[in-house]
Amino acid sequence: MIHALTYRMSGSEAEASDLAQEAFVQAWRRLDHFRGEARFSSWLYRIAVNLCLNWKAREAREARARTAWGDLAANEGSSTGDRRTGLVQEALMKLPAKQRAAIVLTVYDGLKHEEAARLLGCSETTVSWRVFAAKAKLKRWLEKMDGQKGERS
Amino acid sequence: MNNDELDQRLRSASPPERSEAYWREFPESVERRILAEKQRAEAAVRPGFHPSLKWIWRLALPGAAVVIALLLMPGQQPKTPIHEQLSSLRAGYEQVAALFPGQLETVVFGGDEPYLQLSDLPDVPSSPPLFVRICPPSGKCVTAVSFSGQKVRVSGREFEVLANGVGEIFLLAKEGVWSPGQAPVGGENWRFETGWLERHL
Repeated sequence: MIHALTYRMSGSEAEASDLAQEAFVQAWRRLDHFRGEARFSSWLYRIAVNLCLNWKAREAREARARTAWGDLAANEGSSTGDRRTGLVQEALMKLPAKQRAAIVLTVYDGLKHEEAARLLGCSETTVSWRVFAAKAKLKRWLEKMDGQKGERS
Repeated sequence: MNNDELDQRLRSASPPERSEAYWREFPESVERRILAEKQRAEAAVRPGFHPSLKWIWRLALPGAAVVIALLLMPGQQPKTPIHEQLSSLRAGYEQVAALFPGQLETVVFGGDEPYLQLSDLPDVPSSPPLFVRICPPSGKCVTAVSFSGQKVRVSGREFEVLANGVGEIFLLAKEGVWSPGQAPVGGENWRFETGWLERHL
């Protein structure tokens, strides 16, 4: 679960691994702050989300990840499934981090907007807006990418 | 594309599967990081000294301390082979440096046990090790293995160790600068000795 989150947020297996490790290390550091009011997994998940949102030099890393995904998507040797997965991840990586987090939490992890809001430390309305804006962009980008792929093949 | 189709499309993109070896290695990686952090925290509690390294210094220190003391006593030569003893100091230093790559600022020999001054980040520039011996007007002398640009604290006073292009070693304190052949810092009865570790090997 943590790895899936860090992967979708970072777009890179190596970064995802580093982030997941860091999440566990931070949890260990803050163990005395864990009050048992939430499940340990939710608490750890919250740490990982915040970590992904604050990951140092995020923009540079994201740019690298986008390039890597662009290369993967353009790789003719990849299977159709890989290319479709690559396009989705490429589109996710183009989103601002907070919108991406909203999508990961609500679409992939199935959290209600209210739950995602609690986890992200913002209002439910904000989450709803982020999800709405992110989905509008994703639809546009994916349709455009699909069109480009169709033309190429 | 409607919302349901988009959700379905997004969910169809699974993260890459990791190998079994990765999952076996992952907890160990986290454990190693936590252990390293615990050791660093323990080292910070005791100013700069890493408890798990005591054994290294217990092996390396006795010979090294004797050699440095003998080296720095004017007009006397070590009674035992100098190279062997300095090699012992160097070996101890190298083991510690290997454990904290880019973090070792100074190893101070004073009091009952040596202790390490470590940087929080691996940002200490690589340079040849040197040794300094600082004797305050009262109290024990302190011998340290350090590098140009690092600091050594003795009796509440901080000295910055600097080497120039021709290999001379200077000690800078708030009260003034000490260089070979000059009067001690602040005109007080401090005594200083410096040298390059490598040149004595």
